[in-house]
Amino acid sequence: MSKTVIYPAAAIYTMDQSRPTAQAVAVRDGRFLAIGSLDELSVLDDYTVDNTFATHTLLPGFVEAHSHSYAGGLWMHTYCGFFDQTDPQGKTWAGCKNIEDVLNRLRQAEAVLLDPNEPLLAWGVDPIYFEGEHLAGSHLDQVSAHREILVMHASLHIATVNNALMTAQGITPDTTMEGVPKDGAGWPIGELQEPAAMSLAGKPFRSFWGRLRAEHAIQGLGQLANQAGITTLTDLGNPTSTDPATIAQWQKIVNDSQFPARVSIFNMGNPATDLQAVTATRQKSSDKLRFGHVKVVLDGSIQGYTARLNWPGYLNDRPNGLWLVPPEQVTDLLRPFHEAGLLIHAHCNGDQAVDVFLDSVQELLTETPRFDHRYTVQHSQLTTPAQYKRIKSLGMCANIFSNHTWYWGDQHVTSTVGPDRAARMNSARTALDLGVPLSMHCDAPVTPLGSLHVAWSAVNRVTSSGQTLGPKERITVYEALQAITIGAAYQLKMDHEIGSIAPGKFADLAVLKADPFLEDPMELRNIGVWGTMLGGKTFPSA
Amino acid sequence: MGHHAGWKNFPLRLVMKQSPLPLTVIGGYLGAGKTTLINRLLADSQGERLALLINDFGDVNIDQSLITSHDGDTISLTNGCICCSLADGFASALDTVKENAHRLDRVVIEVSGVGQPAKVALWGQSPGFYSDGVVVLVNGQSIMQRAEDPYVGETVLAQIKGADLLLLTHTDLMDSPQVEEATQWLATKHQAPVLESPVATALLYGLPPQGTDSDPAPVDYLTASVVLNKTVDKSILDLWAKTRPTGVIRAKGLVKISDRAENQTDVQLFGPNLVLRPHPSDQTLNTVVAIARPGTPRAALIKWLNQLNPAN
Repeated sequence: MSKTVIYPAAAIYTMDQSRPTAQAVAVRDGRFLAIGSLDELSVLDDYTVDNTFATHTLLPGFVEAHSHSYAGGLWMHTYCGFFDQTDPQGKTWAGCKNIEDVLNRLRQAEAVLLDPNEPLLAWGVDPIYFEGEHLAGSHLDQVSAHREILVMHASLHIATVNNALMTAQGITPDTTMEGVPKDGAGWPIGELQEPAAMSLAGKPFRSFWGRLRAEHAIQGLGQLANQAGITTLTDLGNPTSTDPATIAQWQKIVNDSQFPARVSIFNMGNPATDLQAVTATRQKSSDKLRFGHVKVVLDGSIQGYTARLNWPGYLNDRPNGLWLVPPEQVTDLLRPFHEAGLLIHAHCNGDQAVDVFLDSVQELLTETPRFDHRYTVQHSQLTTPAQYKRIKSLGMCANIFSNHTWYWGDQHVTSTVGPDRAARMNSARTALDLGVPLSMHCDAPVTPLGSLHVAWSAVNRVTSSGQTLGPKERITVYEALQAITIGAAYQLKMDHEIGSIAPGKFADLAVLKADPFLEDPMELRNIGVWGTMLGGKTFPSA
Repeated sequence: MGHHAGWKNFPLRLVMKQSPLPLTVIGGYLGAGKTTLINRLLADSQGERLALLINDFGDVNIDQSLITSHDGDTISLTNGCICCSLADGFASALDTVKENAHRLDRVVIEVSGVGQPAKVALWGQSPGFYSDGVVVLVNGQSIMQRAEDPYVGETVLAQIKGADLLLLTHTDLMDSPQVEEATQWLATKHQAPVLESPVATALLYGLPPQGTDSDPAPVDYLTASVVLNKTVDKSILDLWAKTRPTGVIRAKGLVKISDRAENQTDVQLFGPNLVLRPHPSDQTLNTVVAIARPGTPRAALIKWLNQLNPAN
């Protein structure tokens, strides 16, 4: 038994109705021993007082119920995205607002690469924001005529490469593959569209992805979480989570006391999934590392026009999206998971994908009733009120992609679904009013890991250009903070252990430098994060 | 005309160094019969050593006694074929194929029921491979209804539109007016030839390797070939491709095209697509061979092929 430590704080919001606020928390053996006023806690035997948080605000450690481990790995490559973003070491990289910014960023990165044969790999470029300008290989030639350069776009569906790379990898006027556009003279312009064409980039392309699986990448993910006040992460849809080498790698990293977060790893479920292997991984779980849940992906993304939408579909009769599983097969795909008692989360961006998931769950529950399954609609971006009612009546949950409003809200108004359905997107108010258990997520690395930004987005629903989308769908600061703590914990079946500050729960805290209930709601995302506590151990961020 | 090379004796690859592997894509919606076809190809590989890229090993019937090794994502069989899982994606599976290319003759990819075969066929343009056609299976009983389905109608139609050859399946459960109706309907959606399944393997993916004689020649089908007297202009090839007589399923050959640097160009006419690729051959063949469905007039076929030998 370790010694009791009492941490007084400027404010404590527990997300537990029985005792919503407190002056201090007492921690012992990695768990909350007691929560209350200083007077109340003073009756405890044999404690010490630690004033580290005396001027800070404490919330339960944030829970990110939809993130991907490669979010940490991308930082092994040079960041060229449009928005400012902070790397695992805590350095903030200014957004690249035009092609010249991208080239300058690449020049700086090129200058410090010592090995002339090492390719320069970059990520995050999103030409959707560069008015009219088209990033081409000739731009990258200005950075280096000799070193191979590959710049992955934010969508991960397109890469731009320089002439040196094309020469080294044999991409020439004779290359006949579609997705390799050429100029008037028949020369490839350096754009590689979709995976088949991107794979022509050979070793640099493989390196881009290969490095994301390295130990360093997972460590980076932990550091990003720590900066954001997140104490529980997900790796939602890991295709190799039953592989002993994958399990051993995660165990080594996450179970180490220096790693600052818990991680729940969801297996990527498909018809070939070895159910027994997934179930067996549960034996590998620990307090910090969880295995044994399953995620399936039903459709694509709305901004990529690949989500499945109900009528009237995308604006101007653009073709509907794509299925990743045949709709008729979803029930059969889920049945073994359902019957084995696994937790199922399904990626459904479009409302038609939601219909398919709900129909399947209804069918399965009719066949084989299950209590407390907590099946979760992930993304749930265009879900209608009628669908939320079904979600509620089926005992399901929604984890909403709130950050979309800020990052792509303007594009949704003008290009994907129009102002009416853009106003309906990520409708957290409707979900809550209908009693749907709610969480919200960032889907890192699709948007940066950051729970306060997610909450801010749901509270304000402001787009990058400053318009408010569907103001009636805004939720309160308290509701938003619930969603990113106890709400997310519930969907991971961890709400008895984490997600609120209550006696017996793991002593996981988000330590904030300001009180979110005293700040202007528009400032929520700008509140500084001191760091976290995980299982009673403090992790100040860099 | 004179010389008659015959469909099945047409040499697949002429050079001994590692030639690109032909890559055939098999697609179609759920219930179209892809698994049945894949199992048939695997059970009777016609002497070709296939690399079958599939989504789920559980779908294929592999006789345990025929397995020589099984290392996770790859199963090797005694007949020289291998099965590779697509669990890690196309790039990874094709890397495995490349490592084994010296002991393989062909790649066949089974596309998932909602996948788009024409997009998957792009991988056939990767170094080390060439695209050898997209075969899309269509369940004759359900296709017309399926095409109207609000969930998958567009998906199914897009699959059909990406086909070089459409294979109508489940026709044994249909009467002939129904088969006719489905065939006519398909013709309104896409130009590719429609065949009733089952068909001879040679029709699905070209030709057996030189010297093998195990191909149960598609006896009902008509083949003819032409030897070109000289180089052929690209414009003549384009016109030839567009004037293909009804009934022609595919044609292929090695020719010398005027204005092109390479000695021989591989010509593939499959469905509506004319694909020309430089062929790394030192030999001169200058032959084109075509195959047509039963009942196609031989004279029309020969006349068409002879367009490639314009009188001057």
